[in-house]
Amino acid sequence: MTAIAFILVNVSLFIGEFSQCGWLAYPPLSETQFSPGVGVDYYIWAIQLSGVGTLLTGVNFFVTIVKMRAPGMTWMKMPVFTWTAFCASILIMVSFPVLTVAVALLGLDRYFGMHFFTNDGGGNQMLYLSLIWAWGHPEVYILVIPAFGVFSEVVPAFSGKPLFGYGTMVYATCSIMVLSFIVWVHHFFTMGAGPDVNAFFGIATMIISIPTGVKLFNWMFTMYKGRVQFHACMYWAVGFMVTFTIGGMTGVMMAIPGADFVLHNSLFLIAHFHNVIIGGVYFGYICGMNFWFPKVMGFKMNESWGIRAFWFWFVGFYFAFVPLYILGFDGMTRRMNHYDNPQWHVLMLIAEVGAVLILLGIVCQLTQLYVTIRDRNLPANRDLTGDPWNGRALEWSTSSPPPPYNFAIVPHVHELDAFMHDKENGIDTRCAGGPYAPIHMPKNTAAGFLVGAFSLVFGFAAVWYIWWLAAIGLIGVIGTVIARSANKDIDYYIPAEEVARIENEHSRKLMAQAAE
Amino acid sequence: MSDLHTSPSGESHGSVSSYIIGFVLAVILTAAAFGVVVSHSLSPSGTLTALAVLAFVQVLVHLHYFLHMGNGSEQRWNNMCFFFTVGFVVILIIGTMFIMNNTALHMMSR
Amino acid sequence: MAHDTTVQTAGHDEHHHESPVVFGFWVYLMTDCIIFGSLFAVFAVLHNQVNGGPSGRDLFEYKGLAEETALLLISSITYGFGMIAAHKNEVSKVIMWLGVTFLLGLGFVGLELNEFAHMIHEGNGPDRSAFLSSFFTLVSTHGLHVTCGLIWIVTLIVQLMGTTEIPERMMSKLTCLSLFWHFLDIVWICVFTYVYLASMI
Repeated sequence: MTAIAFILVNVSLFIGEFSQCGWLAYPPLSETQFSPGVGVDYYIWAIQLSGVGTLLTGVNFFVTIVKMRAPGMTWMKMPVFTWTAFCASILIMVSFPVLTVAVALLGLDRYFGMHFFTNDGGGNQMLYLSLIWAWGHPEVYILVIPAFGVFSEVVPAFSGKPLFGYGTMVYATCSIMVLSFIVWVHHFFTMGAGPDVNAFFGIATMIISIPTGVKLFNWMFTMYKGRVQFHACMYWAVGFMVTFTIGGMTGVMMAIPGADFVLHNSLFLIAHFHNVIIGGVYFGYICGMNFWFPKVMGFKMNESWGIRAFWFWFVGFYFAFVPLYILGFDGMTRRMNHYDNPQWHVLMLIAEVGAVLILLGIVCQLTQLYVTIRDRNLPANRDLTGDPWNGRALEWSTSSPPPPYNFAIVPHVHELDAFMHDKENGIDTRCAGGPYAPIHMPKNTAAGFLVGAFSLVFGFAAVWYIWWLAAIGLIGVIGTVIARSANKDIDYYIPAEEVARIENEHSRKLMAQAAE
Repeated sequence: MSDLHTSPSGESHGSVSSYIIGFVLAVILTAAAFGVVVSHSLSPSGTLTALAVLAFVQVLVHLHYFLHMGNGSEQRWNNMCFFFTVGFVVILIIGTMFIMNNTALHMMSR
Repeated sequence: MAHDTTVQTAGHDEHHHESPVVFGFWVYLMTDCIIFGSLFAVFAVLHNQVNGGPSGRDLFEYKGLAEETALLLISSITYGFGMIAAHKNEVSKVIMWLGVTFLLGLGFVGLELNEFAHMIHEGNGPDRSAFLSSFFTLVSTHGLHVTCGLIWIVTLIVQLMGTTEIPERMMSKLTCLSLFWHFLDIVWICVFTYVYLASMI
């Protein structure tokens, strides 16, 4: 569904126009009166379709984690990454319906002339702000919480130590999750609410910095007295810790409603959220990509280009965004198309140098991908053991890339960091040699693709008010779901001999590796 | 309730009598809600309170007799999700009203 | 999708939960609950914004509301009887009760559409005022859910026809629909109390 929405956005580049109302399409600018074109309609349908997709993913992850954990995998033995995926899923399920409602109401205003957010008819635009941020704030945590999970896996793996304060990490994640529901006003302190509203939400926002601080100290204490290997992943992780801390502290500054009246909509805000989104989310996912790439593809990423990319990004980031903090203090607002103040010029030039450095960082990353794929068959780059980093969690006990059934015999979990525990105590996690049983698998289905295709038809038709085509799309979606529910042939078994063959081959590779 | 029994899967399902008890209770509560409004026997704020209480009780009746929510161990997660959701909805509704009323007051937009 | 199966691997059936599908549907219903919650919040903010037009007191009638409520309440008990029949594996009774539920639900949707048509005909459509926008949106979102439930009932009736027993997968579909149908009932309690009755005081 997300892919469909992406296609819809791209279609808009060629047919018609896309929304010109900024990220969140605030009314009244996004209402028909001021945006008569189809741009906002594209925005609405793209958001709705990808919202449904995200919601279903959230439900899927949540139920999987609640109901389908391996035997012995109690809650407090779960890897932190799984915890963060769990919390992000909850945030998705709680916040995306609110987005659906907010954008649907905007759509109703535009399509049926309703008066939710219009200037006339008793509508109230500020309600839109409140609803969209009731989604929008949890949304930024949906972005960053899994990145926290990535660091919680990477830092212990490359420090050769268990994660410091596992329990506090879990509690911190959960409390960030809950607190994120009660802070949404800090995105519009200047809207005109009174001091009691602003004070409540301001204080709630500042409280979030406490569990986040706990996490940072946990990562640092994990590294402390550990045998830290500075692999490319670790560069991104340490870069994250520094950058994210600065971004977080500027966030606390903006959580003070009085200060926010000065900083709101200035470049200070821009610098702040790039500081947390690049420093937190982007660094996190690139770190995760370097870390799990061999697990997924069976070969490692090129390290020297990764480190080069990191340095360009890291240095370029500070060149680009520290000037923006200063400019924000000086009163420069966001989204200016020109400025007359000569004092700002030097800082803007410095920021531009930073942007070029970041560009070089991106070039390095693309080179890294290219070199990685070019050299994938070099023996040094192959991941034959399935455990290239001496990992701690169970995914490293399978071959790389893992077989379609993931685990031939579902491992029994005894301890936190299950795989490391087994390695240290000489337990064979894989139960190599069997006995193997047939494995129950779901069949691949075209239903998902068809639902997506029909949704695309529906969305496109709705944008252009082609109602007969929209009806076809809608009927197609419903029909596909009904047909899928009538389909009895949804699963199959992998025979035990096939499982044994795959597992024995992997065992041979492990032996060969150990002999070298 | 003794007449609610639990299937091996942990999803309890009711019996005819439990459905009828639930239905009778629901009808009484609904009728009471209509009656309170039609009769005008209470002050407006009193009526509103009565309606809120009646609706709350009726929701509980439906949850228990029709949706079979109970406190079995297999239902812990169902209940947890439910209370979490209710909690969030309460935050959302009260928060929105708090914000919007306060803003209206200060901006004199109403 | 492939990840879901990892722990269902044979040999570990002691940990194999029977009902991830039903639980998943319950979780999905919770997100639906949040959609309704947001719509109630919107209604709460906008219900006084009548823009010089009619308010709820001028528009709503007891009779139609009572009929709609009665239909929905009765339909939830008929669905309940259908579920009891399903647990006893009596396919023809299940089909019969589902059919009754379908007719009651259809009656509900019909009454609601009639009420809407009446209001729009008198010039009090959703574009009249913010109050009416939020009223129509909230109530018709519920109505749309009931309509989806109706489509679903028909689908299950068709799938049940000609079979003599109810396999496990069918049972979990019936259970999901049961949750859905009773959940809509609960939403309707909030709607008739808060939207209709409270504005008639």
